Amino acid sequence: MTIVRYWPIALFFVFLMAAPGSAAHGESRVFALTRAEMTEIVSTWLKDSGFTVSSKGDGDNAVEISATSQTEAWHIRLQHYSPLATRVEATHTRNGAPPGNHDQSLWNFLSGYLNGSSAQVSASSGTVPADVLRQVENVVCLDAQAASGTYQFSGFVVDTSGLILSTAHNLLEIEEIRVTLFDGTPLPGRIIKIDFGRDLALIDVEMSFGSKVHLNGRDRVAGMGERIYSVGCPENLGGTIYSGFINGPPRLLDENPLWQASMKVYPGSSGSPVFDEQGNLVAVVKGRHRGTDSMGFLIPKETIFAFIQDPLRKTPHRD
Amino acid sequence: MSSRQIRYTLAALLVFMLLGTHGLAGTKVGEAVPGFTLKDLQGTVYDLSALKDRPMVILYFFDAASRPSQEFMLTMDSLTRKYQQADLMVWAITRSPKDAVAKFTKEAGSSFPILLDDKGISDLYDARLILPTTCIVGPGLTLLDSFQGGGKTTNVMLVRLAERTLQRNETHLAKAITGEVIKKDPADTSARMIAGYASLKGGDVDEAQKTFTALSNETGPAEVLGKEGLASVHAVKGEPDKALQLAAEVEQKAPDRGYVNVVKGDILYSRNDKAQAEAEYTKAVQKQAAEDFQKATANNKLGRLYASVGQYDTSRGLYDQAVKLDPYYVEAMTNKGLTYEKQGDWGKALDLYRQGQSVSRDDVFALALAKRATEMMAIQGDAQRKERMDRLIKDLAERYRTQKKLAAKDEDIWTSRPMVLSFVDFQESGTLSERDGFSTVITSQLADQLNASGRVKVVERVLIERLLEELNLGSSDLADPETALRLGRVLAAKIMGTGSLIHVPGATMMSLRLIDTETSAIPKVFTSELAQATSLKKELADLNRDILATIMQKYPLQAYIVNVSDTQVMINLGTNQGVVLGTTFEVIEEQGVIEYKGRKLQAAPKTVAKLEVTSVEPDLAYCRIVEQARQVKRDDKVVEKIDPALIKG
Repeated sequence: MTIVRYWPIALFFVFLMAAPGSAAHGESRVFALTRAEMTEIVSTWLKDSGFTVSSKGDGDNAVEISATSQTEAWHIRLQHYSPLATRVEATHTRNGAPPGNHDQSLWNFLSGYLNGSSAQVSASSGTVPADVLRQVENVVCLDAQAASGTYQFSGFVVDTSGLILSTAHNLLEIEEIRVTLFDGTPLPGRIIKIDFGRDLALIDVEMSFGSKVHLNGRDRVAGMGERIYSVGCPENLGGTIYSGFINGPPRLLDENPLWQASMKVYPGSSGSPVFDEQGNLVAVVKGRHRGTDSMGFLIPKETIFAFIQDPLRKTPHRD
Repeated sequence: MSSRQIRYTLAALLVFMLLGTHGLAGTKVGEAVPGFTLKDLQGTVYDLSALKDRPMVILYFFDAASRPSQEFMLTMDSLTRKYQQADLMVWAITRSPKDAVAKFTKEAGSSFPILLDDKGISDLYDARLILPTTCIVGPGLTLLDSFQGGGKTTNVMLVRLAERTLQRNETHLAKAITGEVIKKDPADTSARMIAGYASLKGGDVDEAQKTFTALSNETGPAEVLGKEGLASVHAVKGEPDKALQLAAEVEQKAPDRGYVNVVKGDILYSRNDKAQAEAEYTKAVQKQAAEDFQKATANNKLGRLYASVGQYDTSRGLYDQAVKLDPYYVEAMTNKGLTYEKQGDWGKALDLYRQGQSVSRDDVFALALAKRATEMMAIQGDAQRKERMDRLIKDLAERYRTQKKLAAKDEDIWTSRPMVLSFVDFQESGTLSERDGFSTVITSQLADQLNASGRVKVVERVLIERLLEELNLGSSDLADPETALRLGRVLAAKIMGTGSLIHVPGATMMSLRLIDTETSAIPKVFTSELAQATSLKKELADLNRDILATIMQKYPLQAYIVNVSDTQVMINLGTNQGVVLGTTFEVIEEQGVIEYKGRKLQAAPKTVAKLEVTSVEPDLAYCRIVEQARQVKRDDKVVEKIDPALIKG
């Protein structure tokens, strides 16, 4: 008996029942979990994230869960949607206002629970600066189809004409790339520039964007101990934010510098943009330290600049 | 000062220092630690009493300017960042000047509070002369352990912390802590042993075997500890002969080590040799050389054995001893509570279940048993309800004895009646599980979740227990399916749920049968391995879902359309019969019988519309029309339709 088998059901319902959006605005979605189980896991999730939780209602009425911390509040309403599914309606506020334009933490947590994800998502946006939260809509999820299988990773918009920056190590001899935008729109992608040495790629999509991650927002490089935030699609949970800090001096891998960071990195995190507290891009997640999910390697911004400026061939093959 | 005085002074100092590693000057292990209120650099107030419900708090007295003093703090900081959900609460306390603390905070970026001691609190904790001093504070803010000094003491303290963490079932964290020690001292036998038991308890049997094999290949104490651990590993792997062989080797090399006698006792019990099992558990309890968690297990096992034969006073004494050795031993707490339950003292039982919840807030057993005890006390305190139940029990018992049938049903045979389900306790066999009350907890949890679905009504457990008592039926009588079915019919349950639990070391195999009381058919058998108590909640939630899906598929709700308006359709079923929001129905048209070559063939009903419930009352539900091939009308038949996307493949 494992929950892994439910995940297609969950996705089916999520996409069937709700347009992507923010929990901050009282959005509702339906999940293939009984209301009893939903009540249990949501309450535990909130408690584990440091909230004081109370709930009321039972039987035929909806279950109302209220959770508060010093600065944040959740109000979650759980209504039967058949005996085997539950409609979840959620409102999340920080200092009385929505925590960001696109708060995905609850939906990411529930999707992760249903697909057996090991990625941890916090209910609290307490320590995430608003400048970082604003970058969430510039992040995309990528699926690369190759003969050897499908690879899932992350990327972000660097040009409003439709240019996505991501890591390159999943793009060897790929047959097809699917880019899933923040609002759930899937688009085909095309590699226009790739550098396996630097582990970076530019992917083009037929779409104009309203915003992007600026590459030229900061002069100095991030330093040891500096607080940083990654925004990506670990285990396909789009818009998931992890905080961490640089904890090791730069090291060279094939003549390219890499930073070591104490930060949650799960499968699919590669390509996530990394920001400082002001929301400036400082690096891209390359991968995680073998055997751990709490230490990652980052490609610094200098390498990104060099990659963008370097004229490279566009074919996705290793030298 | 004479040489004699010097000798006395040195001896006194030595005694003082030795005592320092075992308890505070004014507070002994097991006593409450002194309370305090201190502020951090930002002026935030921290009051120790606010942590009284925390299962574990670490108070770390240190010198912010001293490198060795910071060592443990940096280790703990890295662990708390990595294991944010492990409920690891550390408060660092220092008498150092503010600027030294500010410098340390800036450089190390601590994730837990650093409190400035300007009130002499360090003196109360005997933490002025020797720094760092570390206090592990347990449930009720009682002192569990205290350590003075850094360097090698840090490792000793971390191993102890790992053992305490293992007692709390935080196996990942226990492994991580021992990992930090092994990194500094790869030969640390105690750390490796705790790491092995953490792997075993966490279900990573191969890793445990690797760790204990490496230890057993060394000489001296490491060999004994390795073989002792390997005996447990082989018992979990279902290789009792190898386990017994290793146990014999350990007994020969180290006759005073008692944990192998627990392993032997478990094997003998599973072979139904209860007298010999008792002898081995008794030896394990009497032998002195063992870690605290091992001694606690021995006491708990012997307590379980005495409880199983009704010697409740003796078993309670053993459970108390287990909790004294391991203050986080929630299993021994709930086991003790169950002994009171069996003697009808629900108040004392509830106190123990609450004690269990205080050390392990998510413990499924403590939660379920506390809920049940609360209900029982409510019934006992409500004279009218008790009287009603007494009458009902007498009536049901009479019906059971005479096998009198219930009153005939009304004429409408199409419309569904409430789906009533009843559980009877599972038959338990195999080794002596660490926990009593497995069957009670499983059936109570399933009943709660099924009732919460709104689709099924589960007969109150207390009603069944009282009825069995009145009928003088024991668990062995219920092993007879006919008895269980008769009971189910008397309780007006359409479905009876019963089964068996086979305990093996480290897991429990469950088989649950649903039986139709009217036809004696078995619509479904579920089998499952219930592993650790930590994942039990999830496993039961999955099982609940499977049961619900089976009932919805095999016994779909049937109803008639009562009324049709422009916007909605009313049907003659409501919450009383199991309808909830979002339930979907198909409107069907039954087809005639076709005669072909002398045989009558019944065609399947035709679906002419689909409905979804949008609001519901006790006896009626209102639906929207999702799609229709023809106009639906009054008296049309409807059948519940489960969405295939909601059924597991």
